[in-house]
Amino acid sequence: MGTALRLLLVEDNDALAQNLSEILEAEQFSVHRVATAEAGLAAAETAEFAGVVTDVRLPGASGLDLLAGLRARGSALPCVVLSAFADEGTVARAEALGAIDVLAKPVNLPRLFQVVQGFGARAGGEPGDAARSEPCPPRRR
Amino acid sequence: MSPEQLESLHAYVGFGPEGAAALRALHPHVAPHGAAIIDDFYDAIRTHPGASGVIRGGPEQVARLKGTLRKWLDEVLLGPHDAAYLESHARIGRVHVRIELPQELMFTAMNRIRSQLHRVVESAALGSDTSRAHARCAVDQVLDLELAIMLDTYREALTDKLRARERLATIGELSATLAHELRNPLGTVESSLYLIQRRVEKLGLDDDVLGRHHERIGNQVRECATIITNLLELARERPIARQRVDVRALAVDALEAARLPAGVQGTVAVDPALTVEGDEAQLRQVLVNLLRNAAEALPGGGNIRVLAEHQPPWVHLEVSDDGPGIAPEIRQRIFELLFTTKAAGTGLGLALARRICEAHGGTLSLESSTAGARLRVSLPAGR
Repeated sequence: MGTALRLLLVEDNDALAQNLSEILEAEQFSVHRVATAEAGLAAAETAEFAGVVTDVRLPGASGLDLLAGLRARGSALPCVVLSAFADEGTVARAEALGAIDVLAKPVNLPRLFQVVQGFGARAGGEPGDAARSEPCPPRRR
Repeated sequence: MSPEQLESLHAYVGFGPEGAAALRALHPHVAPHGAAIIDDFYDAIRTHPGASGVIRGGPEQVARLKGTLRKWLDEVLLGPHDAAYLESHARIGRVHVRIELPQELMFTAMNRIRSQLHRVVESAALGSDTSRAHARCAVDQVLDLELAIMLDTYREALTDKLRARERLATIGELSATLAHELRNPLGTVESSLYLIQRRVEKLGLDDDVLGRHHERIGNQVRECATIITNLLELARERPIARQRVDVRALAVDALEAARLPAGVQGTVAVDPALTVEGDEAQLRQVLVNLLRNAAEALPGGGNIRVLAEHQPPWVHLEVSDDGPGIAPEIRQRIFELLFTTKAAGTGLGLALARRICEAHGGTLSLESSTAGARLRVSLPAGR
């Protein structure tokens, strides 16, 4: 593998974001943390990531808006959505936007590890290819 | 309807002491025809497709209902048409509501009685044509008042339903906000706990106190998560993903998911061949809530048993405990939303469980028991 997989984490709850970073870093990921969808979109444009882990409800634009923004820019960056209120509408929209999974909070950590490990498999192609690859088929929780 | 409202209706139709006297005078003439009037009434029900369906209890139920109708008829004619009368007849009305007798059938069934009583009035030796006219008029008045009482019970049920729905809508809005606000801090606690655990392992610490408190925090966090889940499930009307569900596996899974406290022993005795039609996740939630509820009645430890029985077309699942049981005065209320007897209770678990059962075309009821509490889930059996 060599270098650690770089993840973009979009979460506005600071304590939770710090914990998730620490946990993912302990699993050998490198995590870039932002608190808004706008900042997430800006980060995705300027840096390479293996995938995105985003909350749904954020101040301003939502995590689903972030996904839509990425897709509108032609990015197929793999995403996993974390939601405190994963109703059918949210799940359906996230899946339509190519999210790999929607995980209800409090997050099932082993499941999260499994999904983000999958980002690595996807990013294993040519350098810079991750952001251009096909969105993977959505999977039910 | 209040006794005052009934009184004002008496005044409205002009039903007073004379009318009551005319009915009392008619009673001995009706009595010999009583059985025939009642047979006619139930013959009409038996042959009507819409009405016959509401009587599911067979000949025994019909015999019981005939007894009730006889008593009703006597009370209608003999009175007194007072507050106690109102209460007893409203109770009959509520039975109609409960068995879902359509209002139009309640109305037309009353017409059968009216015609029969008119026939008696025509043929009885009532002394004079004036007495006959009085009797006919009093019969119409008292039966119309009766209809007013019956209709009011339907209105009552509708008002209750609307009130419950409004309450749920408010809870729905609140809970969506609450869920988001609480699940984040809860997620932080849980993930911190995870990080602590890793640290403890890394440092090679093996400490009882640390372990005990770690476990305690974890259990409480899961408890909070369950409360939030119950709240959210109550707030949203989730469609039922119907499939055939293995009852024994369901009960075993639920027992595991309920995480009964130490000292509470749960056992499952269910025939492995039993299946029901329903949404597995929702039904598991029902059993988890019943098991948790039972465990809360056993603070000093005890036993909980899950049994099942196939009684076509139903499968009955019973969760019973050997706790103190449920006091008679609250038996009617335990399924009410937000009703609780526990300091730390939310009044969500049983209300949600009942709602899920009813959405499945089943029921959840409290059964009589000599010791402890016995809750019964009845669901359509799998085919």
